[in-house]
This record gives sequence, structure tokens and C-alpha cells, in this order.
Amino acid sequence: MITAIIFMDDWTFVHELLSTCRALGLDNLVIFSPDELVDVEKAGTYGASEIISYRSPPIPTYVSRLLFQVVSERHPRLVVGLARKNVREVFGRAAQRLGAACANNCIDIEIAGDIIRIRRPVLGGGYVAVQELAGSPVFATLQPDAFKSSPNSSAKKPVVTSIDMTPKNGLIKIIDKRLTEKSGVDLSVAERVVAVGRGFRKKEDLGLAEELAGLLGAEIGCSRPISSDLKWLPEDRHIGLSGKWIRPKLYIAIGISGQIQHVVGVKKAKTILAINNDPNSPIHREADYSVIADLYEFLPVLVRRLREGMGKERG
Amino acid sequence: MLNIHVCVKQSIDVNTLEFDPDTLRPLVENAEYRIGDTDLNAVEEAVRIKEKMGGKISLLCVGSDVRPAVLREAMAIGADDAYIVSDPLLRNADQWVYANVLAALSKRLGIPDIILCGESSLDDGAYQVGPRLAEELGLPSMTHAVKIEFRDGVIIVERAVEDGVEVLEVGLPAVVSVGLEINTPRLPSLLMIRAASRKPINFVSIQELGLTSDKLTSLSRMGEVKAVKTQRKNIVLTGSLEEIASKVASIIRSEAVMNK
Repeated sequence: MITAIIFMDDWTFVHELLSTCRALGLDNLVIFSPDELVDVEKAGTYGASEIISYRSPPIPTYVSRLLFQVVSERHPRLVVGLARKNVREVFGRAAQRLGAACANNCIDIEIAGDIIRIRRPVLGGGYVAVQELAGSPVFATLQPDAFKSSPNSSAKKPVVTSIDMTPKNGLIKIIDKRLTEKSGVDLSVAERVVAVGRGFRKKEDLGLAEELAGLLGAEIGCSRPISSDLKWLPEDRHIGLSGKWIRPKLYIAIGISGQIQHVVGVKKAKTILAINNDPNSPIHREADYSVIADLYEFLPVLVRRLREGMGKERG
Repeated sequence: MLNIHVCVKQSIDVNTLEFDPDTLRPLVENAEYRIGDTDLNAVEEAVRIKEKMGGKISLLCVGSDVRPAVLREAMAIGADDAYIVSDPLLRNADQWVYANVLAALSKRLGIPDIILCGESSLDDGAYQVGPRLAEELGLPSMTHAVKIEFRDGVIIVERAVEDGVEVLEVGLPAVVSVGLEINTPRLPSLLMIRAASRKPINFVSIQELGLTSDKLTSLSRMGEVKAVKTQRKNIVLTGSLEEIASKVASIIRSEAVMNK
């Protein structure tokens, strides 16, 4: 039996992770999860044989100690989890303590004899690297949308064991958590996206892009500075390396310079139209169609033109 | 008076990096190097802490061929001195090795009150060195910090996680990794740049750190790296704004028809 430990501090993609481990030929699948999230039925259907549940505050420094303990006892070949912030921190610490290799944000994984070979985005996201990880165990966090799930025909009920950790002299305490305002829209499945960047001088001006989006039935997205520095739009509108990776049929980038970290998030768009007044802006290299014009002058003209067209069609 | 270490990495400037159109291989031999974006956020944050609390900021930079000139901007922003470990031995170093060398260097200089890192390097994007360094030093870690506040011997750190912002209290010393959201690094003035040229940059040899060979042996190896190529039409629409708008309208229409 070859063991994999699947770290689930969020069960959204439990099927993808379990199915990926089964496809790798790992046959003793042990889920490591906070107590309150454990779903025995769900885990069993996709092939988990055991669930180790834990009680601990969701603080990576502490959770990594528990994971270290479990890995030291079970000797897994692979420890996997989702490519999320807390998971990467837990894995980084546990891997260091074990003297183990770790790779984050993997889009592909295979076991080739003594090594585990993964692929992941590097160099700002415009490139994909093959990386070979030696030793055992290996830690890997996976990009969930790159992996598929398939139910297991020989489903069984996993055994549940639990461990408890209450930090004694807690150096770290969570004192508050504020949930982010969500737009309620999943950009990653939108058919048309209009995205805004630093070319807009103030928040009120985004109305120009919203009007265009309204006419096209498109969702609004943005580059990282708009959501993270300026906070003009919620974080779930951010398209790029550390945000959403989208695949719309039509993507319109307005006032976006096209840094590699943004462009990686729109590589799968079918048609890209860029509106930017700087002809040397990198976004034009990534576009099917470029409009080199001041967005403040061009958008009102475009919106008027689109309205006229619609009027004609209706009439 | 606080002692602050800031880990910075000499990274490939991914925004000027080109690739061979036939093989898709990045032209690393022509690459320009600079300190990564989030590393500069870490330096800026250190300077803001120093301005409030007083203290000393040392840059820690580890690599196979570190050129002191790449540290100039970070020094001008307000670091006081820098310690470089540069050795060809580190050519294929992974995050395990980087963390081990940084930990040994930090220990040798004396564990500071706080160690700041960028959340991820500009070129490798591994998201590991902060947590690994903290583990190696036996210190608490905080990743993706967007705010750091000092309060009698502890820090209050706000972390941006996927569903919101977490506020944590952490005892010092601690290792904190920061993202782009935490601040906007200042543009150093000419005066600051001139002053920076007189700040000490110290080289520490890797042998002096007394690391065993297992701590200098990478656990992972980079294989083939290829650009993700997307074929685009690259058509520039020309004419008056009215004419361009008509062209855009028909592109949108045909796109809609094509995808029906």
C-alpha cells in the first residue's frame, strides 16, 4: 500500500484531490482535515480509506506541527492539498522540518520511479516549468481546476481517527476575521469580460466600462492594482496570476498595461481586444485587436455606436 | 530600537524577459535582474516600522551570482546595510537550500525582532522561503500580510486570505511575508540614492555559515521551462474614433455569431 495524505482545510475540491491521488496509483488515501469539516460519505465515494481529523485554531504555524506529526507516523509518498495561502504555509513549514521537497500551484503531477514530476507556472506565469522532486515524502499543492474527479467504484467507508491540539503558550492568536465583500460573480466561467486597469483616473470613471459591459452582457474584471491597491473593486474581480484565471469568448482590456502577471490570467480567452493609448504597452502584443486611443475619448464613441447598432437591429 | 532583517532575492525581471519564438525557451542569458516586487514591499514596510519605532534594517541576499548593484534601490529606500552570500554552489539552489542559508545568515548576525520577506519571488514564484525560514529558525510565520502594527512586544498582523482578512496577534520574533497590498514602495530621491552608495554591503562566504552538505543539497530540480504561447492576430484597428468604433462593433457581432 502506498499512502498519500490529503490535506483538506476546505472540502470544495475533495473529489479532484482524491481522484488525482488514485490516478497516481496511490492506494491508501488518508484525509487530514479540521474536525468540523469531516464528511465521511463524500470521502468514501471517492476512495479515501481513512480520515484523521484535528482540532486546532486555523493558524498555519500550529497546523504544520500536527501535519508533521502525522507525516512522521504514516510515511506517505505524497502529501497534497489545494494551492491556497494557508495550505502553502502549512506545507512549507512541514516540508522544511522533514527536509522534504515541496512545489506549489501544480497543474500536473506524475510519479516516475524515485521522483515526482510536476508542472507549474513560473516567471510571472507566462511560462510553465517541469520540476522534479526527489525524496519521500514530497509535498505538492494543486491548482484545483487543472485536475478532474472520477468516483471510485469500490467505495468504502473510511475510518475516522482524531487528534487534538490546543496550543499551550499560544504565541499566535486570531483576534478577528473580516469576510470580504463578494461580487457574487464567478469570473472564471463568464462568457464575456470587460476588465479595467490603471488607465482609469478615478473610481467614478469605471462607469464608462460598466456601461460597455452592460451593453455586451459582460462581467467586470480588473488588474491587481485596481482591487488590491486602490480597492475600487472587490478582490474576486482580480484577473491574473494570484487572482482569477478566466476563459471567456471575448475579453476586452481597457487601460490595462498587460504585465505578464495579468496576462497569464487571460491566456485562454478566445478573442482579446485591448484599448490602451500607449502603442508600446505590452497588452497590444497579447491582443487580437488593438485600439490605440484614449479610453476617455473612445469609450463614449463605442458605447454610442453599439447602442445605434442595437437600435437598428430592433427596428 | 528594533533589529529588522529583510530577505531580498536577485530575480529575473520577468517583464522584460523574452523567449525564443521557435523553441519557446526563455532567453535567460539575456535577462535583466532586479529585486522582486514583493521584496521591495518588504523593504518599504521595514522602513515604515523603523520610522515609527527606531531601529536598524539589514538586507539579506542569497544567490549564485549576486551583483551588489541590484541592491541599490532597496538601500536607497532606507535599508542601513546589506549582507550577501553569493556562491556558484547555489546555482541550482531550491527553496530548501535558500531557507537554510538565510536562516544560518540571520542567526550569525543575531536573530532580529522581525524578519520580513516578499510573499513570493518574481521569477521562481515558489511561495516557500518565508514559511521554511520561520520553521528553520523555530519562529512563528505569517504569510500574505497586508498590515503590521507594533504593540508592546507583539505585532498585530492583518493577513489577506481567500475569503477575507484575518487579524492575528503574534509574539516576537517572527517571520512575516508581505504582498503587494501592504504599501507602495517610495521612489528614492537623488539624495537618498547618493546616501545609499555609502552604506556598507558585506559579503559573507558560504563556508563561514558552517552548513552541512545535506542543507546545501537541493531536493528539487528544474527541468524544461517553456513559454505558454497563445497565437493572437495582433491587428491594430485604425481610422477615426468613429471608424474604429464601427470596426469594434462588427468584431463583437461576429464573435457573438461565431460562438452561437
